[in-house]
Amino acid sequence: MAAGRGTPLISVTDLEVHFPTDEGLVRAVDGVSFDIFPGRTLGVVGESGCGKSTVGRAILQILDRPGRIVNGSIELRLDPETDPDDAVDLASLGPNSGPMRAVRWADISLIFQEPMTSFSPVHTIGNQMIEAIRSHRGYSKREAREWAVELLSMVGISNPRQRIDEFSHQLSGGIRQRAMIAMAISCEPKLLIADEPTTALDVTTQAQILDLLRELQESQGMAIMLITHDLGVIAEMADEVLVMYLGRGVEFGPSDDMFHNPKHPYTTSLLTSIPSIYTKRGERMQPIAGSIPHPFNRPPGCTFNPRCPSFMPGVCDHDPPLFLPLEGPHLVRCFLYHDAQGNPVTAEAENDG
Amino acid sequence: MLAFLIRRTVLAIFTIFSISIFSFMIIQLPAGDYVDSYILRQIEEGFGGVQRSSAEGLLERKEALRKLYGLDRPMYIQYFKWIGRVVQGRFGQALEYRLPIWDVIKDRLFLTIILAAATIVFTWALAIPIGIYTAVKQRSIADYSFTFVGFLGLATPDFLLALILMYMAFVYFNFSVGGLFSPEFQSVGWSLARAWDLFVHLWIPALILGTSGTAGLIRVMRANLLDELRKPYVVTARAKGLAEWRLIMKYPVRVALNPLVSTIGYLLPYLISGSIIVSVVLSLPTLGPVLLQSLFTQDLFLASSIILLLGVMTVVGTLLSDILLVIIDPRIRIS
Repeated sequence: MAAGRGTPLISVTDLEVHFPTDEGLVRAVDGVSFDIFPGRTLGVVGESGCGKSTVGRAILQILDRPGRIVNGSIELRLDPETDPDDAVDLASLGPNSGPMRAVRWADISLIFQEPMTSFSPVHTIGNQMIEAIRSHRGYSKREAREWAVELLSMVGISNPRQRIDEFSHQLSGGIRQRAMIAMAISCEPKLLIADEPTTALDVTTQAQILDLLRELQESQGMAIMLITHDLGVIAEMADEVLVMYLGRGVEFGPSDDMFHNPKHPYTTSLLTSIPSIYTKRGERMQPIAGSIPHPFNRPPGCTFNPRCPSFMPGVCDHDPPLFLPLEGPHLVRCFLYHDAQGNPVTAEAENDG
Repeated sequence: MLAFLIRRTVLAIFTIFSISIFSFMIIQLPAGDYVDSYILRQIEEGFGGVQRSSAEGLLERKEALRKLYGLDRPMYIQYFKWIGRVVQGRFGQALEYRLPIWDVIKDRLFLTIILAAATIVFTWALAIPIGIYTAVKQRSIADYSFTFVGFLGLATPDFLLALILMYMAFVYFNFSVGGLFSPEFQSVGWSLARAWDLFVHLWIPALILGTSGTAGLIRVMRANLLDELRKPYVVTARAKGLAEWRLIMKYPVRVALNPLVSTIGYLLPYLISGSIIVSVVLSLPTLGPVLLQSLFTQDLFLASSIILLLGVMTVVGTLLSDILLVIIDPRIRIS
């Protein structure tokens, strides 16, 4: 899409994921589009329940029941540099199909928040790593074990030959997350989806894990999709940022643009709601007014309209806005910038709003 | 591990002794003793000239019998004399049968263990696959059907099921389901043919005894597995690209099975005490009917011996399942 970043590794377009429940249909993801570029980090940010984790799981097609992808495409380019047209639409593959399972871990792997429970409690770390390696590579047991030991030392675990035969409850939280990262990069994936990888860890360990991810990204050249509610982590790590609100992407663009020149009122509100070192003593943080609507009772039009400081009656509560490019690589979903037909809003109209 | 074993063994011995004391005491709580019930039956059956003798003669005879059996001594002396012999491996005489207690119960003890083992195998072999299937296919028609049949099995009393099966087998197949052996193998020595005959007869009582246990175990296995299926390590395994059934069997099923192992210990006494009525209905040569009979005739020593043996089996079973749990679950640390 944007010059200088090459062809995207993954292009997600208009993704929709629904969970039909007894109480009604939950539109967990309701129109999200973004690109992930080779070797770069996409930060996905949003409040709890905005569907950011669901997007990560939808890419791997490992949604919890009864969730399923109902619309949109997830195009994976295995060789974006030399053959940009060679793309597979992951959304069109069956969740249990052979091709989908071959993509998992080998091309795209996943780490998540609970390092305590993301390993099986009754199998050794080594057993689970070797299994992952051998199911995608034709290694012998011994070769896979050697590779696993090497990976463990690569992520900074001392005494890997001993640790490999330990169970996850014998490791500390930070070590456990390191082991999980070692397992996640065992097949040298092109994309690592990190779903709140540091949320359950203390601040020092958090910083170490983020450093480790960055080092590995440099040495392995993999892309990272970093899902978090922590804007500080995003600012530190992300090259591109996707902001989500109630299952919809509301803003997507380069990280610098987002932090210095946010377009969507929600992004602006998020940025002013966190403390900064520039905040003057005694100055209050600005919380976002109101609370997240119930998933079964979404407001019509733009779902952010009841909380929006730039709310325009008769416009924002009527039709949903579209997710459209603004300038260059920047996408935004807001009537301040486009009308309901997708035409750019002129400067005067913006001033009127 | 060794310290754990020693500590648990000492505790087990202590538990067994407590069981022996309490069972000995509780059996003596009802009014009267073996001599009373013996004389009463003699009078009812009207032989031995008892009914012609005077009340004085009757009293004398009772005293003589009590002295003979040691029933005239205080309870704690009776207990220590009995337990002292039991520790040496001598259970004494079954008063009613006029045979050594060990001769009365040894075959029955063996068949009881065989039947319990068959029931456990039957229960697990049926309940675990069904439990896994219904959890993985939660809210499917198969899940609801198995749940319905399971609750039906849970709600049907075993002895009623035994009567229904006996009736149906007799009326429609002209086949007698009582006992564990065909008449020609009833009282001959062990041979391959007799073992096969036992095997053929075993499955109907095992099915009857196992029905409610199977239904209960299906629910437990289903609930355990449903909990595990939602854990992140299952998502990890799925994200690794493993085939769905393979990863379910390797991870959540393996974890969900652990709590079931600890139930092996108390399955045994449940099967024995729960099987008494079924054993009477099906006339099975197990310990249950003898225990019931010994309580009717108030044969203190026979009843206490059987209860003590059941206690030993329970405690040993629990110990074994605890050791097994330590071996299979690395999260359990011995401290």
